[in-house]
Amino acid sequence: MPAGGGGPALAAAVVTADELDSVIHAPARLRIVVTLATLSDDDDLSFTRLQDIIGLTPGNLITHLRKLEDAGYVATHKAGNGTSGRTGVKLTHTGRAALDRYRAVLRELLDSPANRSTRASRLEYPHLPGKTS
Amino acid sequence: MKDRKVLDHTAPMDVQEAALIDRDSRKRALNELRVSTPLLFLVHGLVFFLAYGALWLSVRDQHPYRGPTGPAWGAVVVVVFIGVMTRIAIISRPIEGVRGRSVVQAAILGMALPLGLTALWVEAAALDHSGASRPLVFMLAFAAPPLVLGLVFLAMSAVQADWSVLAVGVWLLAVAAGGAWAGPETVLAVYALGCGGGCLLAAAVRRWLLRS
Repeated sequence: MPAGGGGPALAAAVVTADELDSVIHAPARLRIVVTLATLSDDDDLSFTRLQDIIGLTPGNLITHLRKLEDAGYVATHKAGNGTSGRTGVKLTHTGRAALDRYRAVLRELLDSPANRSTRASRLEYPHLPGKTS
Repeated sequence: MKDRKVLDHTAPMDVQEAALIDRDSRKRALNELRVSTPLLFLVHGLVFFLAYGALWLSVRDQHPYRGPTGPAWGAVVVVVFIGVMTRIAIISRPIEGVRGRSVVQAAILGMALPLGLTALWVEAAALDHSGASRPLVFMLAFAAPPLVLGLVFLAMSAVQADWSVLAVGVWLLAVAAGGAWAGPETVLAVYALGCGGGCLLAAAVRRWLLRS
């Protein structure tokens, strides 16, 4: 469903929570989920390395991770205490499935007639599922 | 600045922006968390080329064959040391902060190369001790690196389901086995050009495929 008050082309390009998973559909959380998805199922990433890759402050990262954890998309694991402690973050199976669904919807929206004007640029996103025709 | 602005923005993204963030984040994560195979091939290619090249230059005019000279072995030690340090850096960086099965796999694959080389070189020393001819002993010792690295690449390709790594592994095994037929002197040139050139070509092809 279109949202926003811009012109018809702009309004059609904007997506809402009805169409895309609102938990993932935020720049920082999308970055977090996509980054964790590149790891194998059995691997986790330390909080500090994730922060280093994403480029968020610790406070912001904790806030976004909490939202993802509440949705069951990521799991955190603490080991040790104090400065020697390590917090590991991993994408759950639910989170991986949610990202797959999100990407499928994204591809559908990119292929929709409303986005036909930007058809050429869609070819730049081969990582998304579905045909680019 | 633009990057920071996107990160702090909490308003709904449009489709193009979301796809762009998805694509760029994936690319960045893969760069950070995956071992760079082009770089790995490049380092192995240079080590093969320089080390076997130095050994070949020292034996090519020997009559009778006595084996590589001291300075050639010195050059090999320097080249291999730099290669090993670079290899450790290439493999260590992506697994920094990662825990789980991938790290265990990387550690096992990392140990496979020195263990395999040690085993074959001990075998060569045993042959020497048993009175085998010098050319025969040297040929086994020279064949050890491409043989073991070829097998390590085969194992890596199985773990990572990576056809390019499999292709390089098979190529190294073929050069290691086929090159031995060239004799104790020429085999070094075959390994320098075959193994070194093969790895350098694979690095260039892999780099080109990743960019296209």
